[in-house]
Amino acid sequence: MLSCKDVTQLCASEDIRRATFAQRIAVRVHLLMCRHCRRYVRELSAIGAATRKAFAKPVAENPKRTAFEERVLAEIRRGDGTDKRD
Amino acid sequence: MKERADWTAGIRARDPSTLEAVVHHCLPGLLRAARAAGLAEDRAEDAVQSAVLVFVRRAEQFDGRAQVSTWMHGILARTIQEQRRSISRDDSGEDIDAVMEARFDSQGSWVRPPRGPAEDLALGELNDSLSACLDQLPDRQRQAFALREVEGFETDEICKILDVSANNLGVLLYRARNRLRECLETKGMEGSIDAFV
Repeated sequence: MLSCKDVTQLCASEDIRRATFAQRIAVRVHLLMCRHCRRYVRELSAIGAATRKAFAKPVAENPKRTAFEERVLAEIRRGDGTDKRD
Repeated sequence: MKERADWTAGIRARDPSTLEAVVHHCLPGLLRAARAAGLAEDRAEDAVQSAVLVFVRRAEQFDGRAQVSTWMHGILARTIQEQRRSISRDDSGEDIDAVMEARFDSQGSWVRPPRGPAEDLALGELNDSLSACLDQLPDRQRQAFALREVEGFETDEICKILDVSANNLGVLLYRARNRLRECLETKGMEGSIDAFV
């Protein structure tokens, strides 16, 4: 039997993705029965979604070059990319 | 995230138009990752620019086995770690493990069940709390969490980017998520006390 502690461990680390089929089923069954663990998992996914949203850029695929991109390209050309010091 | 298989030769030869296409393809994700790792906008641009220049300088080492973006993010992760080494928080002797331990009884059942935010976060509230809690994460945990949640990399790609084993990555993600959850839970309680007292 999986404990709540086992379930939080498997879900937060995502070790569940590498677990056996039987273990994945056991976690699902546990989540069906345990509202505390359901809440825990829901909180983790809300935290992930909120972080994603906080850093998302409004324009995903900008076909035009940004000023920053132009600067990086200029730097590459300036070094001609063949500067081997390091 | 489509990448072209025929980029490899062009990258190794430092063909200018290939490099332009690669930069255009990778730059938004690199910038987002640098900011999600905790760098302010201008520091993030500096870090991304130097990572791209390192990439170009070492272009002939690119063998096409990894995706270009995985390779780039790996260079960026090291650049950020080097920059922050001096101010890096120690993440050995991790206190979140003890905090989590105390939430369960000897059978592994919840003693203090979760009371953190879920609905408030979904509504886009708690943004200030979230960024304050993110800022308290040790660097490696924050990088691992950001690559997974913000950039959506698969765990095996993150292992390559951060040069850690799958087990280590699991520990980083476990600690990052629990630290954030505990931090937001505490802030949520402070908030509800403020509302009454």
